[in-house]
Amino acid sequence: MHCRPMRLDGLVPQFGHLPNIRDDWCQDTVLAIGTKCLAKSSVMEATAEHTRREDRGSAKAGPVVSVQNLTKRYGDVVAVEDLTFALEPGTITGFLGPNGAGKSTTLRLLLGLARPTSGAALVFGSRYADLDQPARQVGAVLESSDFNPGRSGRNHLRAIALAIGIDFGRVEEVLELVDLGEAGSRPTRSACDNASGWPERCWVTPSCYSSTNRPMALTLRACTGCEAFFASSPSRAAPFWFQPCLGGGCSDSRGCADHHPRSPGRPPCDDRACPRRTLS
Amino acid sequence: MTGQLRSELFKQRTTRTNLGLLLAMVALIAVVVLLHVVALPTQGLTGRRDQLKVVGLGTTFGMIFGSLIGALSITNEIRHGMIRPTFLAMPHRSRVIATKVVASLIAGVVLGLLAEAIAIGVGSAGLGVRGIGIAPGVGDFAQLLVGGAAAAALWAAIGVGVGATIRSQIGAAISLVVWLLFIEMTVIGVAPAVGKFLPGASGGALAGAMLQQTAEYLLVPALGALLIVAYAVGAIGAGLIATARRDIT
Repeated sequence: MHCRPMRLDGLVPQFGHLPNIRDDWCQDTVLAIGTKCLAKSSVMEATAEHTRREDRGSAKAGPVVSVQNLTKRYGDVVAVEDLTFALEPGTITGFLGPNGAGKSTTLRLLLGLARPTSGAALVFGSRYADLDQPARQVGAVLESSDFNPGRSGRNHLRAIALAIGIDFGRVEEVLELVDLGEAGSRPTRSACDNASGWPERCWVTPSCYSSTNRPMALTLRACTGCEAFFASSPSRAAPFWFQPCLGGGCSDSRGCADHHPRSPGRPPCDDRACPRRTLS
Repeated sequence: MTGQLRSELFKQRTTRTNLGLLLAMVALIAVVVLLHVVALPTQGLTGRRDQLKVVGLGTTFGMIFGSLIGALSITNEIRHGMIRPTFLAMPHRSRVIATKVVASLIAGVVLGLLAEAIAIGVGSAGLGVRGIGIAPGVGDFAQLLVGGAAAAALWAAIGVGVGATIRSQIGAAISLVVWLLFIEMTVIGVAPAVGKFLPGASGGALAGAMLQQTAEYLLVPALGALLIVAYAVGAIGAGLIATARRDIT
């Protein structure tokens, strides 16, 4: 793993290798953001980790994500300032920084939920809104509780599936995948309690839709704590999700195991999966 | 658009909120109409106008609950964050609002029909028990059902616009209820010449009767329809502008 020091005044992605990520876990391009583990390890600079998958064939040329001189101001507050980066196909990037660094804002700008003050945030070379069926190309989960607590997990996913033209069979596959088959019938307020990492599972499942029937997926995921990455693989029948840890917050396997004792598909979260430091 | 609409209609029927609103409306109309029919003196219930004033409760409550269904379809998503996946699935926000308007119109028709049917049913049954003859004719009841359904549907559309503009669930719900139950009633009482042109009274004009008012006071249905459609277009327009301009946090 090698990293470069980060500027403090803005978010500049930093590239380094994450040795823990197995080839078959991630065929997609992933951008994940996180805060807490960094804060715990007292690393206050905005950092990002980036793993290049050199040996992967790419169906699309050009960067999957390209951010050019992106600036977002809310009144006098500068949320993102002159940010430029690009994500190549098949890469996994951790986009890390302290609270208020502008990580979530960058994601919102990429997803068209907020408008840039200046600069451009493009996905597959277009604005998100201009993509054809964007939710089937980009799997994005921004907050841990983007659902109506009174609606069941299954119906939540079905509502999204209807909106993006995915059949209910896929909903069942995804629920099984994250071990929520039975709990999916209950209101999310009870199914997604704090035990067993269920909030994360309820949370990541919509982004699984993105990896169906297309050569290149992009997964954007905001996260807190140690759940830095969500990845899905279009080459598999079912996508894969996992949570390697970043930073010092849960840098040993026990910490991760305790965090998500029932997470299916969780990788062996050994030291290699949990780099203690993200800055060199 | 079809998938979007199916998704919106699916959302409407997969929480208990809307079912709760529906049951609350039915119970409220039944109880209030029954109280009127039981408590009013016989001479205050025999005339066609007297009876329509009581049965017209269905129109007002249909509009109130229709507007709540419409407003909640967007404020509920904003409150719980569901608006994010909704906008990720359909990034063109005007289409999301348009779909919510169509879904709310459909829900409003159902609510309006039910509201009028309950009011007519309970009112007629109560009058029957007291031995008072039913004065309004089939035409009156038909106008109540059709016009009441249209009024509730258009108020559901107004609710979407108000909800998208105000965004706060409580704020939007209170605004709509206070407007229909108190502000309009006050204006009608203080300045009846103005009150009949307000959006609630315009909806009432469609049905021919609403809370305390009948066709004798209300505008002719065609003018009422024109006005309430204009109000709905205005509210939706405001919602579209507010939704397009604001960032989603």
